[in-house]
Amino acid sequence: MKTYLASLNNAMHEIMDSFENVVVIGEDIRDPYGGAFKVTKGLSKKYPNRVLNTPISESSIVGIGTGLALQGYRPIVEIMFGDFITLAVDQVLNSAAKFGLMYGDNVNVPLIIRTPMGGGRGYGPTHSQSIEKMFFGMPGVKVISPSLAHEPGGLLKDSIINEDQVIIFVEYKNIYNNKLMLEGDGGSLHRYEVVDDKDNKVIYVDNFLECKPDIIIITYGGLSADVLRIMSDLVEEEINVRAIFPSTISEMITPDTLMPLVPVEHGIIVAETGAGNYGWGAEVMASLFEQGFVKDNSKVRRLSSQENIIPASQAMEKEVLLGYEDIMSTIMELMS
Amino acid sequence: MCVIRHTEESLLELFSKGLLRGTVHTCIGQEACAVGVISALDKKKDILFSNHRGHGHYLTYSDDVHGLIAEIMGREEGVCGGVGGSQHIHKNNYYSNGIQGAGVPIVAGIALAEKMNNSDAISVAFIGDGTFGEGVIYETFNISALWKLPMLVVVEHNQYAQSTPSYDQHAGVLHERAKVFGYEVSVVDGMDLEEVYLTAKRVIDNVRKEKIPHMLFLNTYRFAPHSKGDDFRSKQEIDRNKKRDPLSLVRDKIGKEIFDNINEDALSRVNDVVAKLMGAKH
Repeated sequence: MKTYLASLNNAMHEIMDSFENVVVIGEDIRDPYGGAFKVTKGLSKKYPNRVLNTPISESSIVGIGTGLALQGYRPIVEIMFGDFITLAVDQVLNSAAKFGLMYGDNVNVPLIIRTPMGGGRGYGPTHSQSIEKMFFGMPGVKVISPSLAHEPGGLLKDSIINEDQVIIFVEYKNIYNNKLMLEGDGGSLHRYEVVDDKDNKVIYVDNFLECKPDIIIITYGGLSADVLRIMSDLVEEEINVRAIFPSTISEMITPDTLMPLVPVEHGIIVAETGAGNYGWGAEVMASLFEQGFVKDNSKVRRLSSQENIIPASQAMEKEVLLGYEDIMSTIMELMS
Repeated sequence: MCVIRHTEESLLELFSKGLLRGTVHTCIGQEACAVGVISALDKKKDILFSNHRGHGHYLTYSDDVHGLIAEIMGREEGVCGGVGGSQHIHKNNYYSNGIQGAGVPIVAGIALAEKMNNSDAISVAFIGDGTFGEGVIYETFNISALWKLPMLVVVEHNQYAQSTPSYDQHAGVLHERAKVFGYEVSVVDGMDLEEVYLTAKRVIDNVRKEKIPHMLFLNTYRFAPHSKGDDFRSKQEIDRNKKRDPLSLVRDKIGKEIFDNINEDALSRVNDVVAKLMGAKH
């Protein structure tokens, strides 16, 4: 069984093999180090001229990616920690994302920025955040984040093949070494996939076949590990849980993909790792109400991490970040 | 140069009549920079990235007076359909954007692409002295020198960032800054078209051949305000600089008669475009 990391690393190799115009740029990404989280491991040995180590200059390297993309290359820029992407936001917002929209039809900036978000590894306040929400609602930018039930490398490959705009590809560092839950790998869990008309690959996971779900959990990225574990643990309790993991998190889930929400017996949980205010969960909730999928307030819960910095100490970090226990206790509360 | 001057003056007039929205950053006084540098480029293959004060660059590159004025007037027939306005223009290998210094790393990326293509195209970023306050340009000086990228950074040192004089915002000597990264820097009188052109030609040939970055540092002055209501310079200072109007310097070199002919042609060309856009018969 493949890990999240191995899937991404394999995909990077396949992408560089298949597409000669792919150039990978980032800090410390060349061998023997192979990147802070090893996603680029082995690449520079095979493709020494297309894997470029850079100085610590996030803004400049994203701009260089934009220039490469304008000239027909397919740059993949790695930002070592998601927290550091703040240093390059101007380049994304005011240049890369704008060019395809303001210069007319013949300009595209197919730029992929890969970066790991999330905590759980004790890196502390500036290396643990989930700040992808600053790219939501940014015209010309699509944010993609694979869960453990996705094939992360597949999503990366799709981004190279299908997309001609800026992609913020958010990996979750707490699950790099987790095994993927792919077809047939789920033990008692059942997985199926729906692709909507915006290429959003939405994965549904049920812990019981052909049952009306008691609880539906909508989430993405690193929380998939906790949710999948909860679902396995609840088999014994005979609580039916359906998880919905979208891959594109910057676009609203369409009504078609929300259809499996109806009917649900006890409640819906929308969960995100980032701080919740003005976040992804708020948008999902609004959409559930606007589209008429939820009429009863008492059955929906929005969960997120605390509005706080993320401490380095394990106990304090656990306190701030949303995780297994909070989600489990919310399920039990809705079931009671 | 005359087409640029008359276009800019028409734009200021249209603005004062309330016929343009937003803002208009003119380059009146800086025409020799645009014409001298861009005339020395190979417009078919070299890639240009301009800034908020780019009308002169665009006109020298494209000679598209109608597309530019229409764009600034917000017309569909404008070069970017009215979406970009004064500061966000694209045509063929020409780009401009309104964020200070943001184009410099993009120009480095373009240069990297051309280097990887083994082409002999170069890329050019236009910045002002005010842009030296932005951090990303230093990140890019470093990388472009380290990677030996075939790019040219053209600095139009007009001595002001909007209303703030250069000496009030920059420590040290601006043209020394890029040298510490390994850039060669050529400092030129930006009011003298011939000097700008000859130096640019030599520098551009060298960037193309040696595949190294270079900075062309042009000392110049803008006669008009940055935009509107933000000009607190003394009349004496402006008048003193106007004595070295780049157009007058050209006139002195080529003779009044030839110059006047060119100038009148330019004026009537610009007037025709404006009249047509205003829907007037003449």
